[in-house]
Amino acid sequence: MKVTRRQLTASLIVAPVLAQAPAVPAGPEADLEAARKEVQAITMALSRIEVPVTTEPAFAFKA
Amino acid sequence: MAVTGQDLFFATIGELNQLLVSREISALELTRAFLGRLETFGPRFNALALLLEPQAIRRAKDVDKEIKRGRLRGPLQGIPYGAKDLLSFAGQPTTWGAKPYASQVFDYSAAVINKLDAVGSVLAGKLSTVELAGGGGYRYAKASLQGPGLNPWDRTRWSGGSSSGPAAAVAAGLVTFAIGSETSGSIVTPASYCGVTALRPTYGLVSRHGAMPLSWTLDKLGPFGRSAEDCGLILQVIAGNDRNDPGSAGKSFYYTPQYARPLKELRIGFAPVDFAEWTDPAARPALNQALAVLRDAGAPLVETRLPTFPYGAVISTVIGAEEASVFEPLIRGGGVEQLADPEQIAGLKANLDIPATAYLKAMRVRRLIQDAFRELFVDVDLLVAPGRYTPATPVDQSLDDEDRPTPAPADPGMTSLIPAANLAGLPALVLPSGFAGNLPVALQLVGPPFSENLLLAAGREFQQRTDWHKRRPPAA
Repeated sequence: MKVTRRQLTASLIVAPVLAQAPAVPAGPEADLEAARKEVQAITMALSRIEVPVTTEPAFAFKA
Repeated sequence: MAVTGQDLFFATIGELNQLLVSREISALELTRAFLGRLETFGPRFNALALLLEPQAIRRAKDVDKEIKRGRLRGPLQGIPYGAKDLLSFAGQPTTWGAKPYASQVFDYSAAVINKLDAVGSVLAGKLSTVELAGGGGYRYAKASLQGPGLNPWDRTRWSGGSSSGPAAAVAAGLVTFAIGSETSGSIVTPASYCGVTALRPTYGLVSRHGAMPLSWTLDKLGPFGRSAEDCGLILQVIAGNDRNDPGSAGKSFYYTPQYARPLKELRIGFAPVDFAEWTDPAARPALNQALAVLRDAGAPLVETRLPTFPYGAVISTVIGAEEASVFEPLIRGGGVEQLADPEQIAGLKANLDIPATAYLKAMRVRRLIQDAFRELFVDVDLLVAPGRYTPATPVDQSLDDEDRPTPAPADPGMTSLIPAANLAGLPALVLPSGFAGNLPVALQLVGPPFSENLLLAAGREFQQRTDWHKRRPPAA
């Protein structure tokens, strides 16, 4: 997988949250903190997406 | 065609098969030649994970006996190939490119390896991968047990990931073909960077039994080869139902490009902004020329927009949640700290926090994405976009700093095609399409589910009009 976490989040509607994160994490703790903030930001972004109530998950996934 | 000397290493499956069946060369001679080359040059590109010399020699001798007896098993018989080191091969280390699994040995082989063995292909070696296929995210190309994948066209550049070894080994003529994997971009990216033809099949068409799981609903295995034709021949062997793979679609594949519609009858969707603005300026002339080849073949190019979805959020949540479940013992047991890339370590740990509601929301959005692509493919037969928007990046460059135009164009074009098509389970064919300086660039064609024959026929026609897939890197 080539796409990095930061590239993915950069394309999201999570700029305010990312702005609070350090641009270049300084060590393992900072890396983890940044990764957790990104998970939270993505989770929030997903929660704002409206999906018809009848839409079931693509599960088990079939193309 | 007489294939001799160095040409052997860059010959197609069809050309080698002709030599083998006519017994101008034996499978043993061919295998020894490739083994020597793989052993010598594999480390030069950090492409080789494990040479399988005794096993390959044994298999080649068996193949020669079969050919002598007239037991012909098809075009792949006696052809040396490599497998990404996340595919198990019984009794030998399968490291998944990661230190915590450096001594892992399975007592069974992956389904694709068994299928290739059944038609007489010769597994010459395991090829390098980014650790754990890079699922947790990674910042540097060096995140692999073999070190950074080096590009045969320029060893200061990355070969791409996570199927670094398969792409580099095929590009450098170390094997005739290779099997790699893609969850989101791991076939398309290295094939584009290394100038190799490769196919990402429809989800479920090729069994993943015996492959490292990263994301059950996204993982696919596919071939890297010399041409679209070669990819079709390989896919015919490795595709098919497998009760050991819960994601198996239960479909076979027969390579029949002669029955597919020619380019002039296809409507191909594209986004002009991809080629005018998003693509690196150095790559624009080549990619526009490649687009012109499709146009000259009579294919109507239709301006198309990708459906609007937050592809990045959806795919990172699906991969993150599934890989956190797969690797939970590694993460909670502390083995994760042995990984090479700090971003990968942090990403895997953080993904344990993804709520079930987020995962299910992502999977529900994914259903909408599938529906949207189904509608899109009513208007067009295929999509075309750059495989990557830049040529291979410097090997020591942080992947967080990938070059993008500044300011970014307002129209996103098809820059999200890799995650979007993976989420919808769609097949893609990567076609070498010229050069930006000394580095290859490529187009990707994407089609509806199970449209592999359409893609391969289009690719074959494209490659009858071009010779970029035949170019050889100077370092090889």
